Amino acid sequence: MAEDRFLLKDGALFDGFSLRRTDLRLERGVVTEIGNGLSKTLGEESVDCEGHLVAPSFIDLHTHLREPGGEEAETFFSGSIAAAAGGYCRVVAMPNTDPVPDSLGVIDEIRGRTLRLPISIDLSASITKGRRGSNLVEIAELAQRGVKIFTDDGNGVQSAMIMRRAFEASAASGSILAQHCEDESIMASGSMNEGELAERLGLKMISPLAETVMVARDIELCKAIGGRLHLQHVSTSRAISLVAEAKGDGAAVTCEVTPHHLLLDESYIGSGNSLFKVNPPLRTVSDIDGLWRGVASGIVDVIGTDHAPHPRWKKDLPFENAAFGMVGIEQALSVSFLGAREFVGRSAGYLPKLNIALDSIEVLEASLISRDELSWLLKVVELLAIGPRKLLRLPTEPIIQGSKVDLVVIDLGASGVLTSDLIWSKSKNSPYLGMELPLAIRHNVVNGKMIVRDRNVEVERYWR
Amino acid sequence: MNLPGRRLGLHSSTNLSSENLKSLINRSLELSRGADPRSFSGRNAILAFFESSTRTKVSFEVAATQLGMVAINFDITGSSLSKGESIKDTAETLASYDPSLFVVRSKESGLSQLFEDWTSVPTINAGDGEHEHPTQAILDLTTLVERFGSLDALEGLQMAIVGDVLHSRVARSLVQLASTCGIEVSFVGPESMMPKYIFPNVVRHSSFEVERYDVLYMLRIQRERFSEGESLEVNKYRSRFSLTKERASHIRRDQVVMHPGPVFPGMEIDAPLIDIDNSLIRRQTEVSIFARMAIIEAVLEGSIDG
Repeated sequence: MAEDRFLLKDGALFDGFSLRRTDLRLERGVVTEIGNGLSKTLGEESVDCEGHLVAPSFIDLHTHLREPGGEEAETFFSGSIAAAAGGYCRVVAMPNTDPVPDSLGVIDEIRGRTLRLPISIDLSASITKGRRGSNLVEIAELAQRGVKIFTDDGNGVQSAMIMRRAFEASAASGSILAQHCEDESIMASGSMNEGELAERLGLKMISPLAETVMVARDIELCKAIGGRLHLQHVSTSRAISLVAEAKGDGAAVTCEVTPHHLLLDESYIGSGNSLFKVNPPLRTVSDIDGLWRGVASGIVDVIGTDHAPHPRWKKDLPFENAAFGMVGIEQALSVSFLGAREFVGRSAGYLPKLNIALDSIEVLEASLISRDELSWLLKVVELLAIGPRKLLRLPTEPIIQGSKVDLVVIDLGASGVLTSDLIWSKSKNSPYLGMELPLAIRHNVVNGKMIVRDRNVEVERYWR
Repeated sequence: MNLPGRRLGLHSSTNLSSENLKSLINRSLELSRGADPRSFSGRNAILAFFESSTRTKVSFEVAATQLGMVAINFDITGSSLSKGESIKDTAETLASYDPSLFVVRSKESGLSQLFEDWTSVPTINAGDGEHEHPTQAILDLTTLVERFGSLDALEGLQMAIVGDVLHSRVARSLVQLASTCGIEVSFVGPESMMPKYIFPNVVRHSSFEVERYDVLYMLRIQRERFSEGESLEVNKYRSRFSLTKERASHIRRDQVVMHPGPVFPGMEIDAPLIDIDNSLIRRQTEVSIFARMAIIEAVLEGSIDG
């Protein structure tokens, strides 16, 4: 049987424009036929998608792959396998590596290591040399070499003057400045969200103001200077309001939320479980609700994972000494959907704005998921699959005959308890261990190959 | 990784029921009056102090020895922690010597709980970061019961915890356990040294009126725990919140002065006042041994239910 010819039978296809029940014939990643009642042809593999949602594979604008320099935690290879398992076809690697991708030479050298992997990897470059915050990289030159996203992620750019110059370069080149919003001069040196729980545990606190002050500053700079601002891992309800206002004014601002900030609040930390230590810190339920309202109203553009692998010894420490960050690219869909489910539980009847007519949702009504939850699921998929493509200015068009597509098949009926042996990433620092998570990525077809088949990444078949 | 809910030792005041606390105080007093301690001979207690300490460490060492245990001091300065061995490896290595008990002090919050989670060896918190110091609070209350005659006599007493409440793990444990005993606690100190979010029901005073309280609990100023932006003007602080000779001249005979130690004479208390009749400071140190014996007994018998 050919390895790149599939007939996806009886799935519900969601492409961001419509939801319809249809069969899809795929050949080397191109849709050769679309419609109902297609029958299997010779040499083609038929894939039963009954009760499953079929959508474009996801893109993550925020992945820590740790290579080069941090291969103990993750490599391009192990990270791309984890991403594939999570339903992704492409990720943007963050630049807090050693060396930092801050020049053509380093970018070219690192890029050499990202070829021939299960998924595509885009390199981001830092905004400042060495991510030290003082000297701008050559944004125009790097943009010409294909770098789309510039970020000092791990830290925000502290100097407003440096950011001003970065916006000038962004305006000239069309590049995206992705900011980790954290003003380090306002109680940013702690380890947990400011409030009663952190104080009770005797932990130094991180003020929500560290985020909102920088969000406000960068929005002002972006509006005044021009260029494109992307706000990474927005975690506070107040920051969402600031973005809403900026978008109302027509500013070129986009924002991202993470699955963990959509599900977990600070109380998960308990007596100091370092698996829940992340930056920005887990906030309050009221912040989570603010993020979901931002998702519902279209203020939030993408879900980005901030997948942050760490070896055990960096987490097996008292909370204040443990590293920030958690893995999560494999569970991004499940965790986000679980977050939506819990939000629906708190705010019944609150529904997201969707680009498609709600009656088409009946296509999936046979599944176990309620109608409200389905509209949230489609919204989540939109933020995982469509939002990032818009941001990167990749084509987002209805899927028709002739479309070149990567597709993910989502099992709506699946659910299971996460254990560390189910994690593909080299690091197992997941806060979701022991949690029952809904949904599953059943298949993932990338570049014409079924790289995930029945929840198994086909490592042996394609990369050994 | 934490396994929440599984507690064997004593980590925080929230981990003690009112009955636990009362029986610990009563047992401490019995021991101080000469009752026979239980015997745990042949069993080991490892004292892992990652932060310097004189009185707490020695007091635990004596207490464990009085109970027939071998108290093993893990000397941090010469340990392989300074060579980069992780703290978890250290805990696991120490656990392989089969101790019945860990006593852990650390500059980080939460380490005693982690020791127990990692090793399943019952662990007593001898002070963790800015979190808690529950054994100090138990010995303080035992000292008060001894002085005032009974647990019931504590009901309605007015206690001022004076000074740097924000950075004080002693204060955090004490306020909770003192309230359990019916003591009415107030915080006295500058606004900047008060917790912002916890203990919202504890009255705060930014002036120190000595006469108002039955118990004056003086805290040490912990400059080493100050964050950026926090500072201290010593003379101003002393004039407002220290137990100076002038202020002490207003103390009545029925009032008592306490301090968790180490006292920094001339800072929060003028040196001669440490030994006045009203001072329980020396007695706190003596009682600490009996309280810690009672705590070790309870932990080894599994009678702390938290």
